[in-house]
Amino acid sequence: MAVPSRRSVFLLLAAMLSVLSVGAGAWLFWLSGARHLLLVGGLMLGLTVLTWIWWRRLPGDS
Amino acid sequence: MAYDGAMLLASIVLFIPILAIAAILHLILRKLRFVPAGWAGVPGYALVAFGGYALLFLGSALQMLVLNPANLQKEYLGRAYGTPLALRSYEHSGFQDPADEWHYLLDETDLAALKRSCIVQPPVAKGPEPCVLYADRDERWFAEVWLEGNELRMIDGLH
Repeated sequence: MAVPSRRSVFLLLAAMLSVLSVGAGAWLFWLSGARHLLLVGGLMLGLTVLTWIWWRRLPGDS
Repeated sequence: MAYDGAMLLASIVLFIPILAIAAILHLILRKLRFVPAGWAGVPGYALVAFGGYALLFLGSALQMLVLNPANLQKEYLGRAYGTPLALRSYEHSGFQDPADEWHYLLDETDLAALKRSCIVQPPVAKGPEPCVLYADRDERWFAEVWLEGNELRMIDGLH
């Protein structure tokens, strides 16, 4: 089994945190109409995807 | 909407500390090669900073939607009847005198148990009145817990 690179581990953690934020943010928005957590989670998720696209073109680090 | 405003204020106040902690974490992560050096590392820094804000907001949501109402219910009612999954509405209001209001959908068993301990019993002839379970205030603080339909409603704040 291939060992994930350190960059992949970092991006995986970022993706997990952003998905958690989007989920909790959606719940918060449904309860109170507050958008801040949904906004930060969404921005972070988008940035994680763009960073993953950029970093996969870089030379490997594993 | 006031909850967004309160978190915006917290974001502004904590802007420098979060960016500073993110910079230190980013340096450590770069040293450990979790983040590439050079320009390619910049989005890594942004992700760490966003992560800081996400953790701040998640912590606040946990506090406001789970921990605080559970503790207040235990204090006012003896146990937490309204669980996070039964929460149907939350409202944060006020700036210098903040107040929080939670609405929980209760099951029939809990509803029947709580109806037996109303402070003000609804009079039969006058139509429905809220069943107040707890009400207290002092010069600065106020709190009230009541039943409305099949909902448990609780407000706690400053005035």
